[in-house]
Amino acid sequence: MHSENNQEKSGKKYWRSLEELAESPDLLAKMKNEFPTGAAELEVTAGVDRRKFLGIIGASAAFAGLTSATGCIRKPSEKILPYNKRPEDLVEGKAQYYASAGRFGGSVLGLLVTSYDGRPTKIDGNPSHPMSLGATNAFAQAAVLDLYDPDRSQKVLKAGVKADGGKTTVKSLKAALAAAAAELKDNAGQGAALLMEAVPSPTLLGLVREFQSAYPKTTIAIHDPAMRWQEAAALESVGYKNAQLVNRFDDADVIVAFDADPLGLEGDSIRNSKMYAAKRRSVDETKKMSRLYVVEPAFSLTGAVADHRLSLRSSGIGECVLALAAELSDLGLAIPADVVARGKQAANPNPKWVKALAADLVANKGNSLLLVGNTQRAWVHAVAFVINSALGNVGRGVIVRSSPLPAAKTLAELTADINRGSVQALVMIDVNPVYTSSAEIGFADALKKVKTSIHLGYHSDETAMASSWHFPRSHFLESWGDLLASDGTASIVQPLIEPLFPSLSEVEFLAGLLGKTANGYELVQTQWKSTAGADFAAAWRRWLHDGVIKQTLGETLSGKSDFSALGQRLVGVGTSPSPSVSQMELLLTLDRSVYDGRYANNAWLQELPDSITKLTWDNAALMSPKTAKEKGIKTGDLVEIKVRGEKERRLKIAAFVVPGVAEHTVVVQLGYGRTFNGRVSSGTGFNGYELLGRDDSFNFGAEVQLAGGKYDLATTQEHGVSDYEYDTKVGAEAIRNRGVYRELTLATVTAEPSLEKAFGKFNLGNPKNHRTLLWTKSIETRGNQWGMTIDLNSCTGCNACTAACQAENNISVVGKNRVLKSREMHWIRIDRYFAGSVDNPDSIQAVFQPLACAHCETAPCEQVCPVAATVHGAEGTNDIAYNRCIGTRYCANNCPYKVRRFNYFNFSKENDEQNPLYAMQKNPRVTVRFRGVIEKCTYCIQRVNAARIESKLKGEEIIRDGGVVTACQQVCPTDAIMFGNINDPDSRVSQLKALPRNYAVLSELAIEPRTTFLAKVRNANPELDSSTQL
Amino acid sequence: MTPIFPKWTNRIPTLVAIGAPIVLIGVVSFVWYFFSPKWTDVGYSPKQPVAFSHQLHAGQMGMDCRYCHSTVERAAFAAIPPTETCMGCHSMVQAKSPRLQLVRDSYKTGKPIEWVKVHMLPEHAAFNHSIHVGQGVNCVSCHGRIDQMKVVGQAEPLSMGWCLDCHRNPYPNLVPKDQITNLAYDPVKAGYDFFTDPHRQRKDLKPPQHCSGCHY
Repeated sequence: MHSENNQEKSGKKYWRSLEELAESPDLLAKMKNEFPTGAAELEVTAGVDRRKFLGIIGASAAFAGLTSATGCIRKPSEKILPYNKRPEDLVEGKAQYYASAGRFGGSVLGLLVTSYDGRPTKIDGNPSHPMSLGATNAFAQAAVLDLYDPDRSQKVLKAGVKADGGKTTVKSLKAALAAAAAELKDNAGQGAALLMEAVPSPTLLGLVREFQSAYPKTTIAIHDPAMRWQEAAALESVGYKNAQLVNRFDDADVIVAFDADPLGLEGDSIRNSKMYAAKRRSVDETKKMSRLYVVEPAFSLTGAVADHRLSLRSSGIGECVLALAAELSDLGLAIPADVVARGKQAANPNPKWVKALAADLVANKGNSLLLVGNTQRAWVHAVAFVINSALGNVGRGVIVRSSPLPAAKTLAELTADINRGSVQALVMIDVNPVYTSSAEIGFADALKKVKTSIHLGYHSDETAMASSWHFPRSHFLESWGDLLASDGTASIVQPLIEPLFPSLSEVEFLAGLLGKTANGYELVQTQWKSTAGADFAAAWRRWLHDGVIKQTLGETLSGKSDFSALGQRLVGVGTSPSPSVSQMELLLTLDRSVYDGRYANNAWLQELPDSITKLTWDNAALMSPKTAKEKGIKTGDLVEIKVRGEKERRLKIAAFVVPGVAEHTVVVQLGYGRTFNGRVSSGTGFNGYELLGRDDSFNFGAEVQLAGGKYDLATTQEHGVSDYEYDTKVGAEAIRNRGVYRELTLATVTAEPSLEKAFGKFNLGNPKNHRTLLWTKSIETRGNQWGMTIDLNSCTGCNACTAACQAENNISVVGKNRVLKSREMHWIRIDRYFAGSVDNPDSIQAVFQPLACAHCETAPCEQVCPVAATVHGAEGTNDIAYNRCIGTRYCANNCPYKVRRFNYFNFSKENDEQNPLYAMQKNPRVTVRFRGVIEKCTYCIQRVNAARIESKLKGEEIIRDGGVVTACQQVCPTDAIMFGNINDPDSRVSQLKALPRNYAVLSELAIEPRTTFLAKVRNANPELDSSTQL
Repeated sequence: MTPIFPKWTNRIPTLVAIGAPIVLIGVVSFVWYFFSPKWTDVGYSPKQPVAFSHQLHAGQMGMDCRYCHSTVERAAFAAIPPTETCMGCHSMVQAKSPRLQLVRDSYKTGKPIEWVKVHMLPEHAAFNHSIHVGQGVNCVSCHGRIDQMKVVGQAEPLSMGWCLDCHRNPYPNLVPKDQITNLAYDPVKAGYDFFTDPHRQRKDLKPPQHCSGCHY
């Protein structure tokens, strides 16, 4: 077969979807088309066909011509409204930057927020903050859009209806808060409870303590998907009370993640990614790299970049950790005897694999790191801690720190308290438990029994409607606060704008309930007054400027671990039966786009394709191809998932078949199927919480049945260019691997420094033979010549670049129906390829390749534009003059990378009409595009121009290296993207381009792209190397 | 037999041969001139809410442009001054003049004065004042003799061709950096030579001429 030939000739075979792998005729036919099916078809409102539509347009154009006969001679007059009193230091139209902080996915990130004339427009990482180090994630990027969410709560609600006649003002808000506080005072004496997220804010926690002393019968409960209950319980069992683990990747040479996602959704993922990537990039200098092992039930970002990945159901992970402990004990590591004894009996999923892993760990004692995911049980965390201790990692990569949070109950415990009648007043700070909890807990019913329930939330969500009071919360860009990073570094949360609507910050809300009249600013200042020393004003200014308070709070615990009680804990654990076709295992996970549902009303995140499935606007029931085949389920089929627990739970959901899911496991992401009145979130996906059990995120005995019917899932996995080439002349047989994605092994890199042979396989033809240019082009060699490299060895496919690009460049959202027609507008498409055998889940690998306009030297798009709207800039950029474009789309057709996007409709205007506040987010330095023009990556030309002006004003000929940082480069948590002057041999981008790993995608077309890629290097363990790789 | 066409029709080809080019040239010249910004935009001088005279302030009293348009060297926009700047003087000078009633009202109420924009660039073009002023382009090059205008009007077409004329050869428009706001300064009369000016290190200014220099 040709595919095997390919394997020999040009290495791995990569495919984007199962249809592509199976070479389905439908897909091949689609790939032959200029534009994806349906993309170019006119879709107008029902009842209006193309002819009628054109008629309407013609008529309105004629009218416009009549009425504006004078308008075409003289431009309409415009007004300039200057400031009355210009604020100090303000220069109109110039960006200002403020340091702040935010909490995203459980990690506190220091931020640097851009503001134009008082409007926050972009959020970036604060380089001096240890957890962000200048980068952010997609959540933080999209948070600025949340500020302008038109559906954010703007009214005080009393028992679900608008209080104060629906005209909430700052004054009436305060009055309502006082009324709620009085009601609280009446009831809280008999038992109160405070339900909040695990927010490490000293000011807020101080107020919580005050609340407790004001109402001594107060229960504190925490409801937060990032709260690590199991880990805390494990630490308590080995002698650390109220403690948490902080992982440091700085020196980790061997990393093992058991169902953990430290580079994605868990822990300090930005810092972890930065440190991890540094250890990967070192391959170019030292020929050494860290090695990452992952055992998990479905692809996480960490799993996707792993060197070795074992696909294992969630309930089998603990057994695997135990087996590893026993193996390590055999290699002479001091593991407690009862753990070893239990480990010997453990069901080892892959003895050879675990043995090799154990040997690798022992060889890297002290520089290794074992992580266990949030959904795993406490005993699994405990055994992993034992292993980390025995390997000498505790105190190095694994640090035990005291938790700043008070001792708290879980939501289930709180609900039991309410049902017992010991809670008469409930205060909920920014939580939505009515939606985000299991029906088995029965919180929604319990809430009705509470006399006074006061809720603070950003949306008038499910909990807001069920509470006796609801208050709108301010966005963090509107409120004062403070946050502690996991290492104890404190940051002040600084507002950039007055609240757009009358609302309260968390601290103002709680202080108001305590009868205090101080505002957020005063509350935070009071909290920090004592730490400042003599000159508080100066210290305060410095803190606000720097964004970090250089003082470590909390302590690192270094006590002796006590493993004596561990043996008892291991009795009877982990003996779960394997799932089968009829009794599948259900795994509920947080979503990479909407997290636990809190970002469900954020259009950017909804349209962001999931890293693995590339799904937009929906979640789905994920299952492996083998399992799906056994059950006769295909992608898009509606299935019913049934779980028998205390109550039978059912959910009808669309299925999505994707490799990498463990056998007989079905994965459902949470956070979709919201029922509150958000205009973005409504109608997206299926509510996974309906399947959630009391305290597990994985359950046994899930029955999955075809429910009949189909559902359209908008996945972008087949959009754009493929590693395949379909040759129409020879027919379907002539599909060949084009070396779009390239991967090497560390052995190859070490043995063959020039990599000529390794890459020789990909030389698919002499570029000279393809060179039939319309005109010869002299390549500019003066001044700054811009170029970019993307290191595939670092990239984790986290989507932050796509989101940052959207925020920086005013990219429109198009909606699910248009994504189905391939009309999405993202300038950066992250192609996810799979490799390996579908029948063997352990062999499946996933790789990522961010692809944007590559700014070709001899760009095919420029040669076909009939109006010269897309032309070459003097600095090597491929420019578009939007007002010249007439929308022929010849350029998009001729682009070999398929990275040019067309505005089929006036998306930006539609966005603004649907969400009137979105316009406030727009970057004033970038044109907002209109209907009928092409757009694509500009290399952030607005930043290039700003830097050019700056350097010219300074009298410099050349923009210094690092003077231009593109939005995607700035946000990248793994520093995978480098941008700079390729004319300067000393610039960092030139040095990267000189590496042997550097290659150009589709170089045989002689297009000479300015964006090149650095091949991925896989650090395979020689013991496990199946030598299917290069 | 009577001919179908009368004899005078024989002259039609001649008349067409002479007339058509004249009509064509007429139409082209008409559009060329009357549809261009030179005709449509130059001279645009709308009525302002306050009859502020640049002739008086910048001309007779010799106030520097940057006293009011203070951000011109730092930002893309040369900001219109806040009401506060006006009141800096007019709280004492002409403090009771009825012509300044709007300014005083604005200062009291905080409501901005709604000035009418005079210099409007074509859409989709980005312009940055700071770099032009920073390289020594005199204000007069684009704005004309503002110091002689009672009511500010547009002096130059501000069209793309006009911009490019200077971007292709900026040197005639450059003045010593301390003469930027001296609208009467004539580099030819003053004998200024850009290339021998010791205060200029960069001799090759390379103003952008490619699309993305201004359109992005």
